[in-house]
Amino acid sequence: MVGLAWRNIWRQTRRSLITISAMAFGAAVCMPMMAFMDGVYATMFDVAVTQQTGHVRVEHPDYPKTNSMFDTLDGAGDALKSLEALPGASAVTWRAYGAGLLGSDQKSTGAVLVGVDPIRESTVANTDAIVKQGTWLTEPGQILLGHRLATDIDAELGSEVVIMTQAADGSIGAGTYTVAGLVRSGNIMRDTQGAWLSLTDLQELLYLDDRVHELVLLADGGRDNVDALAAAVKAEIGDKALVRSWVEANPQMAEMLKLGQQQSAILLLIIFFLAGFGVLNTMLMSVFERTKELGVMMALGTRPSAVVRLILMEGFFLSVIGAIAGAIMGGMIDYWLCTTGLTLGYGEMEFSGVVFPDTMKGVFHIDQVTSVIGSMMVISVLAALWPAWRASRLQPVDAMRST
Amino acid sequence: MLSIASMAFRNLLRNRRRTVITVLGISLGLGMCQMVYNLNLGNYNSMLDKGIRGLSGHVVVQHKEWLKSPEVEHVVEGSAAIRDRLQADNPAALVTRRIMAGGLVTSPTNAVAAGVFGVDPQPESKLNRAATRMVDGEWLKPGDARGLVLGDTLADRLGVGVKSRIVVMAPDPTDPTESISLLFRVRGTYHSGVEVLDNFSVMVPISAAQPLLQGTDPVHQVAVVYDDDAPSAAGLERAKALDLGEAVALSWQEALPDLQTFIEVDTRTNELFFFVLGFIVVLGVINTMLMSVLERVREFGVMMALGMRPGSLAVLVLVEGALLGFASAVLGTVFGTAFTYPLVTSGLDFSQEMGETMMVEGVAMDAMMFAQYAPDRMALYAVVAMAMTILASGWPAWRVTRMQPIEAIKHT
Repeated sequence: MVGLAWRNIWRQTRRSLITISAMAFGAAVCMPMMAFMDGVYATMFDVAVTQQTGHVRVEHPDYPKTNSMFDTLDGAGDALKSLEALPGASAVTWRAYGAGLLGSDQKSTGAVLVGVDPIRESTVANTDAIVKQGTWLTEPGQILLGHRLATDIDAELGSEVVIMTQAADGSIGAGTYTVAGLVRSGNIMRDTQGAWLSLTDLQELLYLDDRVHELVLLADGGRDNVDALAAAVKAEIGDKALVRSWVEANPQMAEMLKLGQQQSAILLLIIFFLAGFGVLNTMLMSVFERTKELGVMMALGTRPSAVVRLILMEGFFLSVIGAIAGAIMGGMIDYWLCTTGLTLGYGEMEFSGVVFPDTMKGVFHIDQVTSVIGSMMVISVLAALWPAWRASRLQPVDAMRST
Repeated sequence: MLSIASMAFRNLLRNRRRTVITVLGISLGLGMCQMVYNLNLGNYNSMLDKGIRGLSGHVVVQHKEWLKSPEVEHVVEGSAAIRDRLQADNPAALVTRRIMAGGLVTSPTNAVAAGVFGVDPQPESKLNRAATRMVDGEWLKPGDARGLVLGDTLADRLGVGVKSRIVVMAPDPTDPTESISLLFRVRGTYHSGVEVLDNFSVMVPISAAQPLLQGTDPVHQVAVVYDDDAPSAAGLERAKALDLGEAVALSWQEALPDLQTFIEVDTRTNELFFFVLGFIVVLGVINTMLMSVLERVREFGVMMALGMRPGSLAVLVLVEGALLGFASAVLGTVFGTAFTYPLVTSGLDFSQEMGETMMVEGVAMDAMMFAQYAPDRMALYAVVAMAMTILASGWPAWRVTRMQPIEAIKHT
C-alpha cells in the first residue's frame, strides 16, 4: 500500500509539486521567522534576566518595593559561601546599588550606581559582551559608564569622573574614579543612567561597610532548572530574605516570552491553515478523478478502511516531501540569519526598554524545525481526512459507473 | 463577451466544492491580512497621538541640536515670548513649554537619580499623562514656584507624601563642578502606569526648573498641540517665520523620527508576512485553475473544433479566475470586517504580558490595543487579492491556447 500511495502522488506530478512547494515555502519562511523572533526574545531575556535578576535573586524583603539603600541583606558573606556550595548553582554574585550625581569636568547628571564584584559578575552576566569600549573592571578606582551617559557628560576612556551622593550615615559621600570602559547593555535605562564600579568602592562611597542589596545566582543547566535552584536557595536562606526566581522577579518578562511563543504558534497556524487548504483541494480532486478506480479496488475486495489509509498516506507523503524541502530551504535561510544577521538599516531601535542593534541575528533552536514540520504534517493529514472519508463511502457499483 | 462571462460563471458552479474551498482559502487569507493591518493602524495612530501630545507637539520649537543630542544645555531662550507669539498665532491650540533635566532627588531617608521635568501647569493639565492620573493631592498650579508632583513608586521609595519636603540636587549650569540644591514641597503623587515616570520622575512648574538651565528664560521645547492634525501645516509655516536664534521650528514628523522609523519597520515586517500568505494562496489558486483546465481538455478541444478561438478560451479561463478573485475579494473583506470588529469595540488586552504600559521609542503604549478600520487599505488588499488570482490563472490560460484541437479531443 505504501508503494501504491507513493506512485499515486506522482501520477499528477505537476499538481503534487505545486502543493508540495506551497508547503515547503510555508516551512521555509516559518523557520527563519521563528528564529528571528527567538533572537528578539533572547535579546530581551539577556537584558532583563542575564544582566539583572539572574535566574534566582535574593534580596531584603522590602527592597523590591523601597529600593532603599538601607534595605540591605544581613549576613550576605555567609550566604554567598553557602550558596556557592549549592550543587544546582553554576555561578553566584552580589551587588549593591546607589544613586548619585556623576560628573566629568564638563558636566554632571544623576546616575544609578551599580556596585559589582568584578570577577563574580563576569561569571553571571556576559560582561565581555556588554563592554563596548575599553575593558571590564580590573582594579579599584575604575568605573564603567553607560555609553549614552558618557556622551551626555562628555566623558571618554581614561577621563576622571566625580560622584557625589548621600551616604548611609547621612553625610555627603564623594569619590573620584577613572573611566575604564563604556557599556552598551541594551537596557535603555542603564545605558543612559548606569555606572558600574567595584562593590568595595561603592560600599566605601556609601558607607555601606560590607553590606549588599542582592545576591544573584545562575542555575546549572540553564533556564529549565531554575525552579529547582530557587527551591534549594529558599531552603538554604529560609525566611531571612526574599528569594525569587526570575519569573517571580520579572513576571512581565515571563509573560512576554509566553506571548512570543503564542505568536509563533499563531503564525504557524495561519500559514499552514492556508497550505492545508491546498492539500485539501488537491486530495479532494485526486479522489474524484479516481472514483472509478477506487470503485474497482473496492469491488475487488479492498476494505473502506484500507482506502482511508491509502488516501491519508498520500497526504502524509505530500507533507513529508514538503517538510524535507522546506527544512532544507529554511535551514539555509536560518544559517544566513544566525551568522550574518539581518541588517535593517534604520539604526538602533528601542522597544519596551530594550535597545536592539541594527543588525538582528536569529537564534536557532531545534524546536523551530520540529514544530514547523510537526504542525505541517498534522495539518496535511487532517486536510486529507475529509477526502479519505468520502472515498471510503463510495459504493463500488455506483463508483464504477461514474465517468 | 457576456456569453463568456456567463459560461465562466457556470463553469465555476460545475465543481462547486472546489470553488468554495478555493474562495474560502483566498478570502480567509485576505481577511486576516486586513485584520492585522487594522490592528496595526490602531496601534500606530495611538502611538503617534501619544507621541505628539507627550513628546513633541504638532509644531515644536527646540534647539537645532536637540534631536541629535538632547542635552541639558541645548535650550531655547526667551521662551515666554515665543510661547506668546505661537499662542497668538494659534488661539485654539494648546501651547506648552517643557524642560527635561535630571538630578538627585533626595528625602531624609533616600536619594534617587531622577528626571526633573519642568512643565507649564495649565496646558499640561490637558496633555500630560501624569496630570490626569493623580492618586493623591493635586496637579501643579501656575505660580506655585515650590510645587512638585512625583510618581507614586518614587514617593514610596523616598518615603514622602503630600506636603513633604524634597531637595533636588543638580549640577550648577554656570559651573559644572558645583551643584545647586532646590527645595520643593510635594503637592501630589500620580500613577501614570509608565515605569520611568512613576519610578524616576518628578514634575515641577517651568519657572522652578529654569535654574537648572543656562541662558535667559530657557526651556527645552515650546510645543503647539492642535485638537486635530489639520491646521499644523499653516501653523508650522508661521512658526518657521519667527526669529528663533539657535532654535528651529519642526513639524511632528521631523521631531519624532524614531517613532516613524519604528512604524516603518513594523509595517515592512507585516508586509513580508502578507507576501508569504499571498504566495501560498497563489500557489493554491494556480493548482485549482490548472486542475480545472486539465479536466476539461476534451471539452476545450471540442469548442476549438467548433470554431472557438484559442484566445477566447484563454479569456474564458482568465474570467473564471477574475470571478473567483472577485468573490474572494468580497467575502474576504466581509471576513476582514468581521475579524476586526471585536478588536475595535473591546480591543486586545496585553496587560498580562506588558504590565500597564510598554515603552516604544519613548512613547508609552497602553496594554489595551484597539484596531481602527482602514477602508482604503482594506480595499487595496482586496484589489491585490483579486489581481493575484487573475495572474495565477495566467499560466493555465496560456496552456489552453497551446492546445491542438485534434489531440485535445482524443485526450481522455
